[in-house]
Amino acid sequence: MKNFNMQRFMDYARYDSTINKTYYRNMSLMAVLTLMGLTLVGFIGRWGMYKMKMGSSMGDPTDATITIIVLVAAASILTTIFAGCTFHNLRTKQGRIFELTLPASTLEKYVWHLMACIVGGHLVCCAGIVLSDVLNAILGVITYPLDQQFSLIAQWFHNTRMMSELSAKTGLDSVLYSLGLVTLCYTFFSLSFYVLGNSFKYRYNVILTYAVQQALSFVLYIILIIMGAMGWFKDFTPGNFLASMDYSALVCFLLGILCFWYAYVRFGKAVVTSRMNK
Amino acid sequence: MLEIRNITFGYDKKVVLNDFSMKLENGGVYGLLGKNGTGKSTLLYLIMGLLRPKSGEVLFNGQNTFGRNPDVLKHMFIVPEEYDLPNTTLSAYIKRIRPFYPNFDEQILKDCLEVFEMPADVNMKSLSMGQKKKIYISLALAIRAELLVMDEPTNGLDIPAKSQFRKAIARGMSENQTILISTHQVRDVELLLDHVTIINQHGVLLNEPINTEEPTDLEKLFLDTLATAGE
Repeated sequence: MKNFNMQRFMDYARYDSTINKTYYRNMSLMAVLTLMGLTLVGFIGRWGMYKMKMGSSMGDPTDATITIIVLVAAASILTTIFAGCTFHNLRTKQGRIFELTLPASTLEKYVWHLMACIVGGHLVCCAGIVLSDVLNAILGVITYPLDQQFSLIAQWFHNTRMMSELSAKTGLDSVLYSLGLVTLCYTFFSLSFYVLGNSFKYRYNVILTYAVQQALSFVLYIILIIMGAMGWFKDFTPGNFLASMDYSALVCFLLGILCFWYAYVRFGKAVVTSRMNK
Repeated sequence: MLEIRNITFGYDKKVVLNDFSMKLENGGVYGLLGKNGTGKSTLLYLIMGLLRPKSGEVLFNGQNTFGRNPDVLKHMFIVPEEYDLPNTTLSAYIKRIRPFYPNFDEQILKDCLEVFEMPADVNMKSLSMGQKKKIYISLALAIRAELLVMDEPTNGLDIPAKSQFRKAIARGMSENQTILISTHQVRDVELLLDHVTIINQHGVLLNEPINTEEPTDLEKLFLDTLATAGE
């Protein structure tokens, strides 16, 4: 590809990692400490419940379902925030001058930023969850007997496997599959939406993108309600429902591709100063 | 080498440059003068492809600069009026930036740092504004870009540093390199200039070489040119 030179891409990656090492370090620390903080709060909550229900069958300190759900939700939010920081080099006027005049192609810069912020963000969150698990284990060893020690990650896998076996037994495995597909594709679209939002506005873009996302979701709900009231869904069968989930997954995926592409186009046309970015 | 063809540009409804054209040939130090608000900084950003004209084009060696082709960008460099250097050492920054500029010359960097009395390696975040400027100008000269654009380079430099700036340019400038300096501080650069260009928003009012055998009073030349143009 004429626009993509691997050597120059690697040079740009090294350059960006060097000049932004403080930024990437601070963002990573923020993510990891947030996840570990939530784990600590979860642990204290479970310990409190355990102490209050001492002697009773409730207050099981090894049941960390809520903590796991909160961690997964937090990781999801954090990776979205990371996606919204894809064009962090363009936050200031000086940053835009350096970034836009550096002799690397727009594609090379864009691919690196996606890798650093989206792939890197996911890796940081995974590392954060692992460290949270270690923290949970250390606190557990200090607080509870050995036979009540457990791993958050192992419990999550265990719960997932249980849900999968249950759905297979009850014939709901296709629902679980469709749900998983929609979730994956919606996550892909959501990340791309925040990257696109960042391509419009370089500062405070995460909040603004969130506001736009909520507004669009509200409009979609209204449309669905109107369609429901007009009888569009009266002949809906479980088969239709599954098919519509699969189509939704496809739509989310295609919208995601579109958002990533348009963000790239906007990055290529970025200017040093504009009405939205002074 | 650099051709600006009929560009029109403005911010919101305010037109800053209107059907503006200009040409710079290879080699020499060009001084770009103009009244406040005539669009000197805007023109520099348009030259570097940092802004997109509403109409017209800016061509460097025949290529449109807004395309930001890396093969064009590696021959151009800008020293903006304000900038912030990254939180890293100078040596680490040079190691990362030099692969992008094939003509980078370590010796020129050393010579310029010596002229500016700056150490060979330093943490750039800990420097004062004036020190950062010296580092950045040294780096800009060491890159040996065919076209080096400077926006108010002597702003923030103390009096000794302004003299050092002139020495650094004289010592660090390469043959066939074109340096375009936009400035109000004409006294700081008049000894350096080979060519002076005075502009207003519509175009070039004066574009002529400077007589190096006789000292030129640039301030008087500037005021006379504006008076002739009725401004």
